[in-house]
Amino acid sequence: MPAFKTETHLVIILGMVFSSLTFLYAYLPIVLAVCFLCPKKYRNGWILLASLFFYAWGEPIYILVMIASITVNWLFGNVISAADDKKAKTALILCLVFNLALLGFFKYWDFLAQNLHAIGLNFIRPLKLGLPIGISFYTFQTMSYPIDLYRGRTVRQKSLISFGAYVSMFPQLIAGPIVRYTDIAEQLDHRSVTRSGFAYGIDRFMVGLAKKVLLANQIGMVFEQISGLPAVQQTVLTAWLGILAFAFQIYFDFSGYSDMAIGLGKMMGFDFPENFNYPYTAVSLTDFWRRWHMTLSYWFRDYVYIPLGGNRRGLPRQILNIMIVWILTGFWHGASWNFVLWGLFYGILLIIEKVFLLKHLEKLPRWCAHLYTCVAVLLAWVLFAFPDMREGLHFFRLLFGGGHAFADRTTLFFLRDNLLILIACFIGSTPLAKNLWARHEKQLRPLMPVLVIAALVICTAFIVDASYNPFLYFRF
Amino acid sequence: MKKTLRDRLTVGIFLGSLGILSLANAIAPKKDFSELENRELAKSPSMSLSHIVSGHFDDDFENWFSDHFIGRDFWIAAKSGARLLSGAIENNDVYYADDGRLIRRFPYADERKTAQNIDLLNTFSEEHGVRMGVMLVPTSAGSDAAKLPFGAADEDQDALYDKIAAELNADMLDVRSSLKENDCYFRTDHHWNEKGALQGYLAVCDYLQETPQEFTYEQVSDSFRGTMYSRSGAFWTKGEPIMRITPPKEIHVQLTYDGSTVTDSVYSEERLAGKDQYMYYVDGNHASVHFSTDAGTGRHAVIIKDSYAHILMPYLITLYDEIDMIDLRYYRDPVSDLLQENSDFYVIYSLDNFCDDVNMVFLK
Repeated sequence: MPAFKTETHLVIILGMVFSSLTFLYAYLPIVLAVCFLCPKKYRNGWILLASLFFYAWGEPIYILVMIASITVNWLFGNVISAADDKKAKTALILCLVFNLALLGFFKYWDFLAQNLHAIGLNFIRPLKLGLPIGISFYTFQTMSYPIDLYRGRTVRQKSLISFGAYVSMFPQLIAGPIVRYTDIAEQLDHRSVTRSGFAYGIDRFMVGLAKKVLLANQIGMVFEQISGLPAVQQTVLTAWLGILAFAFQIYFDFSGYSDMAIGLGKMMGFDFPENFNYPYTAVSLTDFWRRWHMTLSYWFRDYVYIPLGGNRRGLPRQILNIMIVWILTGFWHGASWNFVLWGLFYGILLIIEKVFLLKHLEKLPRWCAHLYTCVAVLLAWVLFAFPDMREGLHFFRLLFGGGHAFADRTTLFFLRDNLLILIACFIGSTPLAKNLWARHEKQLRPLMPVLVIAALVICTAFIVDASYNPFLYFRF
Repeated sequence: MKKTLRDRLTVGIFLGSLGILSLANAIAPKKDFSELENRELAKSPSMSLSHIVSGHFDDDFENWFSDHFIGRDFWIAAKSGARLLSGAIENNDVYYADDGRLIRRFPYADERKTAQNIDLLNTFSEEHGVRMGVMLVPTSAGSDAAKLPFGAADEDQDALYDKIAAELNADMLDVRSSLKENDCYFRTDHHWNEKGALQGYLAVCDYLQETPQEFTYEQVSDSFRGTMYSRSGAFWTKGEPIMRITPPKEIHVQLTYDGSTVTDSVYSEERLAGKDQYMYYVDGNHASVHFSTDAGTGRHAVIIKDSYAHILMPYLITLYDEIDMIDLRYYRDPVSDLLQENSDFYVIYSLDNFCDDVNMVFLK
């Protein structure tokens, strides 16, 4: 695997993933069975227990970090809701410092140490601690609780167990969506699982599983192979195909995960917020970010951009605010300069759009605006895909004519071998299938159980196959 | 269909299949060895606390769980079938070629390793003053290129061969053109078959200026399913024959494997009962095999080789009184010690392997 380090990919390496046999055929049946057999009042307790186990699966030690985070935030919550305004503010600040320190320590310490070292300062050393899975997701999630409590938007959660169940809840624990406390506060204490809700959860889970296993994983191999080609087979068109494959991989991987999370939530009676809305159909980057990883964009909007003053303090201040948000967004995706660059790229383009481009884009034919958006997003993915910026630069050169030819037989091979997957990715990136389904729901609905079983069989086959490892005796 | 019925069905089918498969998987007996993959399957993970805290328990458990998952071979074939139906032209780098033939991809040669191997051979030849006869056998992806599906893209093996031939100080035993006809490769394995090896034999005869003999062939198995069968997951593919190759005049031969085990046949009958029936020929991979024959030619050969040479040996024993066949993967003694006055020195590799092998450094 090329080392691109999004959270969703770290998950694959470190933790239990939804698209694994262990999850599907051991963990999930047990969790669901107990969840419905045990009395309602113990369900949050069971969810907490099951989620801590899920977390401990990949990270037996870091479970302590998670438990500390739960307890500290819950205790601060108690203080904030009981104290007068001044004390509450102090408590909130302390609480945020705690959360950010936790995130900063585990995620950014080594990065800081390395960069200080690079400019000749050696007073801190890299610790080489692994990143606790999902820490970027759950610290953001958890922080929404004290903030919204302070703002009076929610009330204290009396039960530490229920709060723990909220923070650690396994469906969204490691790859989002970022669920705010206010999103599910009500459901934590009162929820019901209906048959139709459960069936919807299954449909949604299977859609996500198929996206992850049949599309993301398969098209991901295309990117992997293309980025590993020897120089004599690197061509312009192959490079574009490669970055397109990466774009599809990251979208279907991430949105597939969100679908599975939302589906699993439904099965347990929770409504998680939507996280993607066909981002690759966007007609501007502004539009793209209203459709891509929506819970993160809205988190930054509500907890950073608006508190900084948003657009209410004049254009220069707004531009500064946008830049702050986008540097942070880039940095949130990973402790590496290429992510900061990626955030900056978007920050700058979004400001340009805000200042004048958006007006013109709206006048252009839709396909022009769409083309501009797609090209910009693809180029941004190059920054994202290669933590080693020399490799990224090399790839940029290929995209713009640096290869030995425009296309060759290898290009044809990748197109031919992955034709159906590519078509499926294109269609899956648009609401076409969804609209078709909606229009003919009556006729198509009976198909759903058949599709569910078919998807389960095919996905299982692909998951088993991923572990298939014929020892090639002739390969020494 | 009513909405409630649909929901009932969805829920029932989903929970039912998860539940049944999970239970069946939990109670199904576990195998230790996978014939298809030719490897030991993962052992059940240690439950000790230290192991669990170490953070490796999860990987061990997941490996064990998927290695022993119920109906494993069925799922793997299902995935391969899904690839084929989806219009893909390969699975795990094995092409689905014409008539169910399974051909390994050879996307590109490793230039660095190729150059290094050329260098090592030239150096050896120079140091020991020995002339090399080099036979680099193109793979099926090259010789059978016409049988590949549309869109297949592989290393240009002809050009690659020419480049290597130009840089090697050796006599090249070129078998390329004759391998392009005659069905010279197994359909389910990466090796050449007895017809391919015959072309190799003819090239050696030509090199030695000997008149080739007429061999007879006798089918000893029809159930050979080779490496490409395993790798492709195309488990619906039928088995194919293994041939015993007999010279017109009987040759008595004594084989000494790895300096100790002695037999009197180039065939290893018991291998026909196993998965990899190609091991029928000189018993598969050994560090060294010494052949002594009553061919009465007065010649001695030293061969360094990969497994492509194995099926050639039933032919070559008619041309040599003594042969030392060396596999550099396992052999660590100086090969030069085996060279006698007037020994013929051969290098016999498949072309893709020659460009990828890292064991040539052990040639001393």
